[in-house]
Amino acid sequence: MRALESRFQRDLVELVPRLRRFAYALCGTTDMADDLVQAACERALRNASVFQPGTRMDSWMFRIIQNLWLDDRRRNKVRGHQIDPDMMAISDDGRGAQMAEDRATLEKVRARVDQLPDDLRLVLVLVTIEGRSYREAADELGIPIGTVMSRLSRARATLLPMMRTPDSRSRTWTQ
Amino acid sequence: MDAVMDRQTLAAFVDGALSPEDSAGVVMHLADHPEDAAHVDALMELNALLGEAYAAPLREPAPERIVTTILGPAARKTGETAVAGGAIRAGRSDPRGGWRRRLGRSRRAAVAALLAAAVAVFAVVLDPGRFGEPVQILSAPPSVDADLRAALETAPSGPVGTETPQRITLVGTFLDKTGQPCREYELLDPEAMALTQGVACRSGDGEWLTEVSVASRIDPAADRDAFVPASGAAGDPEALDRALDRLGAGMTLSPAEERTLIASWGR
Repeated sequence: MRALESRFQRDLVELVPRLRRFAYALCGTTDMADDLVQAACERALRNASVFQPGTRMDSWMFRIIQNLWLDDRRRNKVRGHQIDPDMMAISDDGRGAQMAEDRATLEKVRARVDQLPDDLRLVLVLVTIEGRSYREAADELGIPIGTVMSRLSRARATLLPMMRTPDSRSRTWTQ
Repeated sequence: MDAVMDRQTLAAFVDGALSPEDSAGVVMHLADHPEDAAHVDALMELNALLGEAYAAPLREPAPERIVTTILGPAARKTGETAVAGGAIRAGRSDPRGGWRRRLGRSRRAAVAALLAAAVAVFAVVLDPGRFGEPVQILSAPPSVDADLRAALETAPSGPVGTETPQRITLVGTFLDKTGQPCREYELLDPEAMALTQGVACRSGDGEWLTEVSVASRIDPAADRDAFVPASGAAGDPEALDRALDRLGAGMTLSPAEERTLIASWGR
């Protein structure tokens, strides 16, 4: 039993980087993500006895994180952070600052994801960031696969206009 | 000619959710439909951006307070070991993980699906020495043909519109450990149902040389049981991974970086 327990703990520690990434994508800030991961680990340890060895610990942990996050969102209906309007208008015609440009782009992506409704965001994060198949995402969220696809396409419809910068227009390969 | 493909099918293609047969169908459709290809490209780029936007935790060791929560203060010492172990692993896998992430898992998945459908491997794998030894090309000229060369030299990553029977897709651009620019490409010959995946690098004098090239024949009629696992004999897909490792492939360049690089060759 003891060995099993420490195995459980070791596996959990191994998972932490991925749990933090998942939580980061849900919360939008690393501080909030770490609070969430910590709370999820506490809950997991309390419920370690119901975890069935041999089943996927990552799915189990993701579900705990996602439930805690949803509970928290329902409690405080306040949005994470607000978009800085200046951030959305960043122009980058100077090629010299590519690193800064990349950082700004990623910041913009996070800001947009933050604005997504919770249900769209969860599906988007599971599929595009965590690499879940449509079927797995549907099972984890308890929704039909068609709903996964339609939420995904709504989430992307919100994010794609961001890609229509002069940058991506110049990427057409059929000149 | 069939019209624009529906967006959910294209998304499913990008997400690797289509069967090998359907993926092959989309790949061929894209070559003739630039607007759909542009959409697929935007989706892939978005996936790559999303992956990158939240990648920071994968590059960092687990925070001490979380590890302490899991292992308890008494186990701190073990905890540190575990954390270090995790960090080292993450660090080691990062260049490849990063490379894959930026390539777009989706596209990889589609290609893996195509490879999975390959029953006959007909060409030679060019895999210069496994341990970074002097390049030894087994067969076929190392320099690339004119169409591919033109694409490598001028086109951004994505499907390349050409008139030739071979459909060229540039998968990504990266710098190897010596700073030499390299590009991963795919050649799809729909008539022969042949897929070639390779990496070519550009020497200082503007010559493109093949570093690795793996060819497989796609047989959409292949029966599922006949699928060859990725690690199996199907054109030795690992040759590509080994070559990327040997070259020290890091993250692929962003579209902006890639554009700047390509522009510099034109001068």
